[in-house]
Amino acid sequence: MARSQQGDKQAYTQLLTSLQSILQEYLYKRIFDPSSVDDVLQNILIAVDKAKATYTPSKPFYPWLYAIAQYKVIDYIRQQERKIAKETEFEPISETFCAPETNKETEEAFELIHLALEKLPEKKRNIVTLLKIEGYSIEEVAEKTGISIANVKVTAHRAYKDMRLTIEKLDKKYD
Amino acid sequence: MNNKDLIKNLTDNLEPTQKLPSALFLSLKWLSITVLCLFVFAVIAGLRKDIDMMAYNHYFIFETLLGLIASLIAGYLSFCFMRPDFKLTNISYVLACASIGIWLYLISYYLIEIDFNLSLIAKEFINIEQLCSIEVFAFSIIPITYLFSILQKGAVIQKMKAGFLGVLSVASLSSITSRYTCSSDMPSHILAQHFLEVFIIGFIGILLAKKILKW
Repeated sequence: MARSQQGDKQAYTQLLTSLQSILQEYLYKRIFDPSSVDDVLQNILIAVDKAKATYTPSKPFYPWLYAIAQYKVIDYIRQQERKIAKETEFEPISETFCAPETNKETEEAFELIHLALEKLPEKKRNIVTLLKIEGYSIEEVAEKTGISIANVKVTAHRAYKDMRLTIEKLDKKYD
Repeated sequence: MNNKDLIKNLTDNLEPTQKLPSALFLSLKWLSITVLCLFVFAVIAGLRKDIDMMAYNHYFIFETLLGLIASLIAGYLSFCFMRPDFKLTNISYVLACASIGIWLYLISYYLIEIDFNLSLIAKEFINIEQLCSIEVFAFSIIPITYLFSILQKGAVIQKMKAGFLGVLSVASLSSITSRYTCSSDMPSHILAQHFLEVFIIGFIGILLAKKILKW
């Protein structure tokens, strides 16, 4: 370390390389998640680099190193705790979606839409299917069907209107 | 980035590092600049009219000396924390307690003087005519900034202790300086407007240190 402080690059590379195994051993005993060990190790190496001016060559090196390592490990643990505290508990969405009443309503809505779609003339049905079910853009539908963009927009608009009327009629019938 | 690349990056940017001076050298350097700065502030704010009389007041001089000693000890200890391997030994614990103890002694001396009449202190706190506490805070701003700029050069691990002691050191000097600019010697005024601020500023120092000394 003393040589590194004088700018000896070779000594510094040797030092940091040898520190890797020492620190890995130290970290595996303290960090339960093995995938985080490398991240913390890199943080320690960066911290060692930042703090190298604070090392006194006349004093032992390891207490200095382990003080930094311990600081970074505590930092990591605190970060993890904060992350866990910030995470909101997973809401049991399945309960909402799988609730029998909701499912029943959704099924009924799908059925109505399907019936309304079937009742449309072929041209209109084709355009609605391409736009809303297959997810094509207006430009792409125009290109596929060979109709102008304006015509696609008008046809789609009329198709939605027809479908709305059909759904309303069917809804009244079911009620 | 893997470890090899990181080491290569760190090594490629390596330049000779200037070693951190000793804590004693840093604290003396900091103290001399701070004392000079506070002297200028006191002159700008206006020294009390009976300053020549106060030179013969033994307790006033004793108070000043105690404040200086507390400041020097607290400052020295806070600079010691710049080294990551620094640990509070028995001696340093005694020193830290001594600097805090000096202020507890000064506060309790005036508390006895007013017979622990806390309502007097409360009245002085809201005495708008003589708000010396603002002066104490104002005097502390530049020295605290300078202190943290030095502390940031180190690798402080025990941030709260370093921050509290460092800022206590600044507040001690500011509080003592403000006694040279304020003409009131009423114990309740000294307590409420000069001495209690030392600990208030000290606790602010803890919060500042937690934010500023991250590395």
